[in-house]
Amino acid sequence: MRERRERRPTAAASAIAAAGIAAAIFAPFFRLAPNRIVRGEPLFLSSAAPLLLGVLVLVWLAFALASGSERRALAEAAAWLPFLAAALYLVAAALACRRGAAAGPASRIGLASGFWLGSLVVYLAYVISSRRAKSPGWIGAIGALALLAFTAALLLAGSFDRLALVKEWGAQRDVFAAELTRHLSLAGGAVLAGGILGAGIGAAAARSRAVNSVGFLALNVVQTIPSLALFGFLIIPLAALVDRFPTLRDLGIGGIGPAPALIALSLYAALPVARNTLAALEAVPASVRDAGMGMGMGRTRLFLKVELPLALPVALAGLRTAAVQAVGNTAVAALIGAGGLGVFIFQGLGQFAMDMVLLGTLPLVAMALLVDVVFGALVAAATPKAFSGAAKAAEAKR
Amino acid sequence: MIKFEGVSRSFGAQRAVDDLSLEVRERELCVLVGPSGAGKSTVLRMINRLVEPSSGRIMVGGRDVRSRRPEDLRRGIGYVIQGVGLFPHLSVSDNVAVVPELLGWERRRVEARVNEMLELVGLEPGRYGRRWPSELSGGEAQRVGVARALASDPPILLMDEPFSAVDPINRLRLQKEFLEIQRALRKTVVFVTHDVDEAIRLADRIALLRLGRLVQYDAPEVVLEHPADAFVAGFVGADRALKRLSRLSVRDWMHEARSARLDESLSALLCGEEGDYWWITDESGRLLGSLDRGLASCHGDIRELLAGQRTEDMAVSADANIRDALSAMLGSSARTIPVVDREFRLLGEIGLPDIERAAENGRVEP
Repeated sequence: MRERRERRPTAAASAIAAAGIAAAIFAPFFRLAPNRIVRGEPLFLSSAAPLLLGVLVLVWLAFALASGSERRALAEAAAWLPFLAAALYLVAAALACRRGAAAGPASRIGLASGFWLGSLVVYLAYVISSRRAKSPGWIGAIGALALLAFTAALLLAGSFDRLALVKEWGAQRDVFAAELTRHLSLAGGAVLAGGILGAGIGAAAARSRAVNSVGFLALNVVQTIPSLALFGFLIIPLAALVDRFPTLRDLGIGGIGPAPALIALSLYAALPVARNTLAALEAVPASVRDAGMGMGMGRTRLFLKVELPLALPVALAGLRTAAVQAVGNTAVAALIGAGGLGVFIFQGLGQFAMDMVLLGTLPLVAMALLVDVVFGALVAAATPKAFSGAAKAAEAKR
Repeated sequence: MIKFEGVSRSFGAQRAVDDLSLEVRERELCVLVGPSGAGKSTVLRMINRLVEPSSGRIMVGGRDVRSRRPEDLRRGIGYVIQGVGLFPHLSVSDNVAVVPELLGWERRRVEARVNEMLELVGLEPGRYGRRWPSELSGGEAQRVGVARALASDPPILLMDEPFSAVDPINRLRLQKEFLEIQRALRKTVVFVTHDVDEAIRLADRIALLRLGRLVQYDAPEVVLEHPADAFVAGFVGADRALKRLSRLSVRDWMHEARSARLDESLSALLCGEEGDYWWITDESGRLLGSLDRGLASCHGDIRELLAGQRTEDMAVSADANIRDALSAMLGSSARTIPVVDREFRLLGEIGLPDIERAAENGRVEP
């Protein structure tokens, strides 16, 4: 039983490594076009940067070997390797851009299937290794932040200037910054409001049957409504509200725009938080509460010293789900004029400008991953030592 | 120390406790016993105000409990429950330290006290202090529960079926250890159980409850000898005469035994006229076995004869009760068995006539 459980990630890691190597060798890594009209020639990593391809293959082989290891140091090393691979892909893209520069000032470089497949494989590898490594939370968080910093550095240094995507970005720089900020504030605001609402409903539901049934019924109904439909539903009451109280319009509230988006996104974010908060509080054994009360802890102290530390990691896990969802759902909010990265996606789709779609999609994906990783680290940090891997290891040793 | 004055408590239409008047004396171990639904736990939880009475008054240390803030009251009363209720995210030491910390003791004093308490319940502080509750066995967890309840040295201890979730062998051990602790500390203890044997083993006085009413409140010997009514008689069981024997100590009813050391000239002794049998000990007084007069004198190797005897099964400890002695007697089909101390040194012997005498003289007046 134990052996099988240990072997499975090795098989998965090997498969992922094989896919990574295959994609790097057989898929075109980028396309080089002399100008904007022509589609461009596919270019392979093997001809553009053979040395880098070799290093990449070695990294994937090392990943396959290390992630199956019982040794803690090796397993931890395996958790870093996907980030190293990702950095290599970025370097490869930068090298491609240097070739593009040689091809003439009007030339454009487009990233091709090899790059996208490679990125997907990197993500899968991260997922696999983070599940196995002993301290996945902080490795993931540091790795992701380092990767982000590396990308930003290359971008600012102009290494990617020839990329069609970057050219697109260069043309819309100010708009991009504004929409990114808008996206972040919408999603962040929704997570904050939804988190408070959800935690409140969850905590109240743990004490009151009525709140439990009514609160969760409402949240569940909200969750079943598709986001676009919910945005639509909110237009009518909000428009009516603004008609009634025109001062609200001066505050930026209206039937369309950020107000309905924020409301809907907050409602979506509330359910996972509420559900997890309730489950976490219900999981605190009755005997623990009884003992705490019987020893002379007041309600507040019992909550702060016992219930909160026991419930926090689970509630935070709910917030993690809510945050990742909010980042994605916010993209749809562009359709009701709330702005955000969705603007590029929908505009790009309308104009059949794939680079513009990517300009919206890529930061969105990066943001979702980053949020996931950061909240993962938060959950790990909030988990009492008694329940973390260290305690289990000590128990096994005994 | 603890006094109930006409206390009732209803839950909805149901009366859990009905006009209860009861006084637990200082340093006495009072066991509340009765079938489920008798209101035992409710009575217990009213003492530290986890449940409030519907009517009547409860005095603790001469003061009405309602005159005190529940938190303050509870910090002066140790509390042990069936599910133990250790805080799973705190180490064993931190669990024991909870009440002293609530009381604002300084750090070093808390630490010293925690170690003292763990040693008291037989858990080595160095080995157990840093463990998590999830790493403890049921018996160990319950020991920590007792240590935690005693940590602030409260004069009163409330125990709500503390040992009933533990397996029978460990339960007996925990009961024994707890009795030893109680003998040393002499707390005022209110102990709830549905197990009559446990009640008889531990109690100074037993309060029998039925449907929220106090049926009988007496020393275990009295309850066994003179049950107040048919319900009590039925509840304590048809074997109450035997149970009564379990309250009597072998030490009080044994008598001196004829013994000889192995190094003496045994043959002469055994061929003499005196007695039917001799208990044989080694030079430090440890029991080796018994030899009948006449029998051994003719057979050569005494050591071999002794080695064939299963003395360990036959001998009883002086701390054992008469019921155990009777059981050992029946088990070894001997009418007289040796009594030994912890080092297996011979202290005396006890026979069937002694037990009859004990059963007769041990009677108590109602």
